[in-house]
Formats: sequence, structure tokens, C-alpha cells
Amino acid sequence: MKLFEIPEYGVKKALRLGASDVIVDAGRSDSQQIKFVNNDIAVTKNWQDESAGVYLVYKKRVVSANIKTFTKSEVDHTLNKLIKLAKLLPPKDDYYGIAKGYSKYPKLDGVYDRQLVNFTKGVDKVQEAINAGLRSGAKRVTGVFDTSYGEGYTVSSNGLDIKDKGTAISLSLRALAAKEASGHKVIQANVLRGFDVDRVGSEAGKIAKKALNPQSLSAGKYDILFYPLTVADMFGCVAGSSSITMQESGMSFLKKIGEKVASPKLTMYDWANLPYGADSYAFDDEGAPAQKTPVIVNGVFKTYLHNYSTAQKYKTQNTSNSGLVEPAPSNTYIVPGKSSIPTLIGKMKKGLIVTNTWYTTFQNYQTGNFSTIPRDAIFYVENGKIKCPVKDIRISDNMLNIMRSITDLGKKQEQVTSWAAEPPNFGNNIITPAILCKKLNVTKSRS
Amino acid sequence: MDRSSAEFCIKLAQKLGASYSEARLENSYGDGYALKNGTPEPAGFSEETGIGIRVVVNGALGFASTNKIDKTSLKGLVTNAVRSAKRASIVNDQKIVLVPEKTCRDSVVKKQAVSFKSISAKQKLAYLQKIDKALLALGVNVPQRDYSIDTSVSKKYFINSEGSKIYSETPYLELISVLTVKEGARTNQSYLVLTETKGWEGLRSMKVNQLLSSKVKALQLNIRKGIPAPREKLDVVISPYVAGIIAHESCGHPYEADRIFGREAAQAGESFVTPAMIGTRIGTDVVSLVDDPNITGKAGSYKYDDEGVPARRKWLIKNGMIKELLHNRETAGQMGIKSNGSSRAANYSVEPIVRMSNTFFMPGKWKDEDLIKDTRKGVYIKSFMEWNIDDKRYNFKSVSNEAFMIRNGKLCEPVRNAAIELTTPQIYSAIDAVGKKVELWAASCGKGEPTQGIPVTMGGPHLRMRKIRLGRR
Repeated sequence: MKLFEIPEYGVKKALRLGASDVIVDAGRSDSQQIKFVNNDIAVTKNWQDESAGVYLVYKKRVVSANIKTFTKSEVDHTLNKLIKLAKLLPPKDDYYGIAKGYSKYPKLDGVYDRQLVNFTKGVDKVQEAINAGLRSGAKRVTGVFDTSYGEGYTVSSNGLDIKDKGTAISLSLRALAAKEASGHKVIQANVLRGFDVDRVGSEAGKIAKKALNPQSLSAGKYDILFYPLTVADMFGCVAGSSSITMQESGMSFLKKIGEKVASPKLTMYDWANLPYGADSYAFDDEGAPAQKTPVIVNGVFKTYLHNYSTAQKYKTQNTSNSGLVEPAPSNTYIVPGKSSIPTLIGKMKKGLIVTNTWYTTFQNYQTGNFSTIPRDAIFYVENGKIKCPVKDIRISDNMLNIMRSITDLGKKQEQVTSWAAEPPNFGNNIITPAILCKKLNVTKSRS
Repeated sequence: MDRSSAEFCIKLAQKLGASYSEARLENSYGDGYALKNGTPEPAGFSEETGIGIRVVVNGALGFASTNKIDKTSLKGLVTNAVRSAKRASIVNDQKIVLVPEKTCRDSVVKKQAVSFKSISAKQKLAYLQKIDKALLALGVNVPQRDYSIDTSVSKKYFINSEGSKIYSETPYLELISVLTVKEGARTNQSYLVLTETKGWEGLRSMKVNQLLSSKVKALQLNIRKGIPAPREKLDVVISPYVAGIIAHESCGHPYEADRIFGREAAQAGESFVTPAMIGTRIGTDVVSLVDDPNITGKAGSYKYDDEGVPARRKWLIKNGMIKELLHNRETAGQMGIKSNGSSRAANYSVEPIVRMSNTFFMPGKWKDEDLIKDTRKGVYIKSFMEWNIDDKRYNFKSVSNEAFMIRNGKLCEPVRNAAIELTTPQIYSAIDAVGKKVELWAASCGKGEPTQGIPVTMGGPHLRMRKIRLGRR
């Protein structure tokens, strides 16, 4: 049996076996990675995979499995085994079905570029990025360059029947001017056009150079200008917390719809059909057409993210964020402000510019109490001017407080993802400007 | 598994010009069940077979993996890996050297006393329902209760061009609970992972009911009666659970040699430790810390690493002195020493890199109760939620969700959100007393690109730190 014959056959067979809802998908992917370390290539990686999976519901018993080999007998075996498994389980009483799917969806721009299929210029791109970093002041340049191509075919028992394909390209680069002076930039896209590795290397190198000789800083309250990479790590948690299943699990600090959760300056969308979005899709995992969903508008929490079943459960609109098992964010889009970076810096009396952060972990997901630890360059700002680079600090605050403390947003957005995403961050793509917050709590190791 | 496919890859890689090649052919089967607030979540199973290969060509390293195990696909895979490495070797200044190691041939099968297959889906889900029922019977308000249980068996065949051939079979059992205790408008949360490399019998040693029952009662007490941590400097006794996160984050990670040499700089970070610091003091005489893969039944245990090197205990800190780093064959080659068997890959589809196994403080001479009795004024920290550390592994923080005042040698009222926020040397230099009884706790450790979550354990005995200033929330 050919790989792409599995979905249609699998759905028909599962329905004959008594399933009420079925989704079967099949896909293949080809990915490359170049990991570079200290200006050299440390390892090249290639992945070639094929996969097929089944999501099946039998009398409200929800089960899933992959199909390990692509033969008719193996598909039959997997489906029989799933039905047998379902019969052993109690019903999931809060299950309400899958979305209606289609065989055609509006075309989504910027998710496929044939130049990225079997891309052979990775080494050249990496060298270009390394050289740009070194030219701008770095002594060591290190990072990861990825490209991938994937195609898939999905069929559901509720009308979904569609083939899909996509490409991706990304560069995460850290330039080090000294052991404690570094800059980190990330760029990611689905198409080659505009993918400027020279700019990434150059900007990271410049930040690294400015970060030389960092000083100690006292703990206390500081205005903080979060650069986009930082926002990806921290606001990834906001996007994650907006999934209804995170709320059900007690893992969300977002509570009541209609509640003011942020400064009126903040408007945030989950934008699944964003042209050129790195996590964009035309339809979600169960076939609901992708959409742009307002999550926070002018500081007011508007909706949790849902799939069809959870939307039915809560008697609300499906936001097309399936995730069959749980709704998950797509592209998080933060509406930009009007200020340039120098203008934002000019507004800070006593503040910090944080260019990157990681380990955003929560003491209590419901209250939003957390801390995160900045990495790479941090700059101390006094009366609107950068005074010096600093080091060894931690932001120990509350996520709702941070959102309410936003005073301005930059006008230029970047599309980034955090590598170090911890729950409730799904590690999704974020399109964001820099964000300025007032008087956040900064701590450091105690003497 | 058809082992000839791994052998085919090695032969082909050598023929195409690789000076070294290895293959890991793996098959894994697993199933999982979950219960959320009393309702069953989707259940499922998966089985996968795949192969990952590494080649060294002209001093450059190539990795490739696939789940397509036919000859044509494998030929394409190996050719790609060799070609990519060759291309990298042209532009590289440095050449990778894998230090020579002896070849090993072995079969390591960890048997299940009670096979996962002998337990039905109904029984597995019923186990979670039983836990939930017992928890609700306690009368503590736990409005949010997430449990999952996963079982799997991984079969792996490792072969390299130097003649090593190692087959292994490892069962894995994992139970995760996420609980929120509520009192009025206030909440306290717990996230707990329990693992064993055993069959279903592993549940016995997990003592899940006892653990969760004690946990939710403590979280409730903490909300009801917890006071803020005192502001003055005092002694802090930490449990094996808290000792574990320190061992893992502030010792295991900074001692990973690949991190020290900058290989993980872009994402997982570097380290404040340098090779020149070996033999220098970092803590008091009573501090000794090891990474040991040879502990029976633990999530970080293995007999051979993923480069076929025999596993052994590594003394990271001995009597307060930095003793040894964690190495694979590449980092050992950089330092001109032998590997100590610390190379691991989460599965066939990712390259093996330097990882921890079971990382823990070695026991000392104190009875647990004597550590408390001997403390006039202090805080006993039993567990934590929030934690983090910077990317050079120097500035550590953890915040308690279960802690108690110690007054005149006795445990007293609970303490709320006590934060240990110290540098790594501060922590090890403050320890003056070490308990006798070691406990290991499970975790998944993330590193690499794509991120590899790998099972480890971390722990130690109870430890006392003198004159610490705790933070508050």
C-alpha cells in the first residue's frame, strides 16, 4: 500500500469497524540541520521520515496510534487493535466530536518554497552568517541552521480530504565577543526570500561587542525593555495559558473571559492563517479552517483556544486550534506599537534592556508567579541612555503584573521561537515587537 | 529488528570514505493513559522502528536518521550523511577526533518481572482512577488533578566500524501527576514525575498513594499556616528532592564537557567550569557528588553509552574538589583522555551528546533526624516548584512549595515560598552536614537540537547549608 493511500482506506475501514469519528493522516518529511560551533561546522544532520497516524473515537472512547508499516494488513491490524482498546476504556463524557472538514481551503501565502526542497546551500548560508558575526565584533559564532520540506495527506470521517505541503528555514545564532559578552538572534520563515543570514550574524555580533565587560547590578525595581527573543519565551507562556486544556489542568493564569489581564497597549492574536507565518496552516488537525483569533484585545482577555470538542463543551466558538488531544496555539501575533527602539530606551529612567531569556518557570501557574533568567546581553539604562552592560540578574515577578505593566511597544516585529520553552509554553512561533514594562522585580544571587 | 540493516549502513559508510561510522537501530513500543479531573483523556499506543547513523569523514561529523529501513532508503541516507560531512570538512579549520576506545560485544536485557503486556488497558487506567479516588478521599480540596501513565520497551542494536556490537532492551515506566490544592482563593501546586526502568512491578517502589497523599496534605497546610521565610541569615536543611535539582543543574550540567567546549553555546549554554579548574576547590570537604549510570532500575541507568563505551561512576566533586567532567569520545579527544561513557541519545532520530545519568550527592555521616535536632534556627525545605539557572550554570534559584521552620531542633510551622537564590560555589561552600540516606528522583533533562528530553534521576541525602539568606515571594 502506498503511504498516501492509507488515509482514505483507513477512515473507511474504521467506520466499518464501528468508529464514530476518525481522522487518518500520512506524511513524509526531509530535513537538514547544520550545527556550527566556534566558527566551524560541528555536525551536519539529515532526517528522512514517513509516518501515518490514526485518531479514532468509538462510542465516546478516544484513542490514537501510529501505523508502523505501510501495508493494508498493518493498517487493519492497527485499527482492530484501536477498537479493541477503545472497548476496554470508559467513555470520555466531555467529548463532542470533530469539526467539519473540507477538500479545499483558501490558499495560504508564504508557507511553501520549492527552493527549499533538497536545499543544498546550507553550508554557504552558515559561512555567510559566521563571517557577518565575526566582522561585527564576535570572536566566536555558534548556532543552528535548519531547513525542511514536508508533505501530508489527511482524511476525516467528517469531510476533511486534503493534501498539503510546506517548507521551513531557520537560523538561531549566538555571537560571543568574550565568555560573558554575547548576542543572540533568531530568524525563521517558510520561504527563502528575505531570509537574511548576514543581518542576523551582524546584529548578533554588534550586540555581543556592546556587551563586553558587564558589571554587577543591585536587585530592585527596574523598567525593562524586552527584545523579541525574550518576548517569545515569556509570552509563549501567555499563548500556552490560553489553551482551554491548560486552564482545565490548573496551568493557566488567565481566568475569566472579559477580564482585564493586561495594559490596554497589549493586543495579541492567535493567527493561524497568517501569510508567511512559521506556524501557519490552512486548516487545523481536524479540518477546521484556520482563522485569526483575538486572544487579548486592548488588555482584555477575549477567548481560550479551542478545538471543536472543547468549544462544544463550553458552548463557544471553535477557534480552530486542534490539536486533537488538546488545543494548542499557532502563530502568536502581538500588535506592534509606534515607537522605535531608541524612543523606547529614551522613555526609561532606570531600566534594563533584556535581549534573551530562558528557564521561565512558574511557582504557581494559576497566580502567574514565576521567574526567568536573562542570558546574553543585558544593558543598564539611566535617564534614557544606555550606561553599561550588566550580568547575573533574574526577573522574579508575576506574569499578569508584567502584562499590566506594559507601557509601550516597538514598531518593528520579528518572527521568533524560544528554544527553551517550558510549560505552559508550547514553543510556538511568535511575531512580536520589543515590549517596554515599568517597574518589574529584579533579583540576584544573595550574599 | 533486522540487524543486517545496521551492518549494511556501516559497511557502506566505510566504503564511501568514512574513517568511523556507527549505527543505532531501534524499535520501541509504548502506550499511554491519562486522567484529568476524573475524566479519561485520549489513550493510545505507538510502535516505531528507525535507524540513526553517525559518520566521521575527513575529520567532520555527519548524522542522519530515518524510519525507512529498506536498502534503497538506507543507501540514500548514508550517502547523504557522508556527502554532508565531506562538504563540512572542506570549510572547517578543526578536525574532530573520537578518542579510541575498546570494542565491546554484549547483550543487555532488563527483564520485566510483571510485563507491561500482561496488564490490560483497563487495568492501567484503573490504576490512575484508584490513585485519584484515594486522593479525593483525603478530604483535601484538589480541584485540578492530572495524571498520566506511560509504559514502553525500547530495543536497541548498536554497531560501529571498530567492531562493537551491543544489543539492549529497556523497559520504562513513567507516572506524572500535576495537582492543585485550593483553600479559599489561594492555591498551591505540585508537579511530580516518577520513573523506573522496570516492568509494571516498578509501581511498587514508586509508593504513589503514600507520596501524593502526603504531598497534598502538606500543600494544604502550607496555604493554611505558612509564614514568609525569615529575612535574617539562618541554616537551611534541604531534602534529597531539593538536593537533586542542585546536583543536576549546578553540578551535572556545568560539568558536561561539550558545554564547556562551546558545542551547546547557542541553545543549552556554556559553563562557568573550565578544564583548568579540575583539582581546585568548589565546596566544603563533606561535599562529594557523582554521576552514576550503574544503579539498578533507575531512569538514568545504562551499561553502555550510545557510543558503545562501558558506563561507569564519575566523581564530579570529591571532598569539595572538582574531580572529573562528563565526556563522550569527542570531548575526551579534545582533552587527550578516555571517554567516561556519558554519551546518550533520546532515541535513534537524534545524535548522541554528553548527558547525565543518575546525578547525586554522596551520603555523609548524619542521621536525618540529627540534622534537624542539631539546628537551632533554620528552615527545612522539602520540595519546590519554580527553579532556574543561568546559561553558565552559576546563578541558581528554587522556590519551595513545602517547607518548615526549624526551632531548637524541632520542625515547626510551615514556611511559604522560601527561595534559595545562590551562586553554585556559594551552595557547595555552605554545606556542613550530609545525611546518610540517598534518594533519587526522576526528571527529564532537555538539551540538543532538536531538544532531546532524556530520562535521568537526581538526588542525594538530606544536606544542611549554614548561614543562608532565603528569598521570599
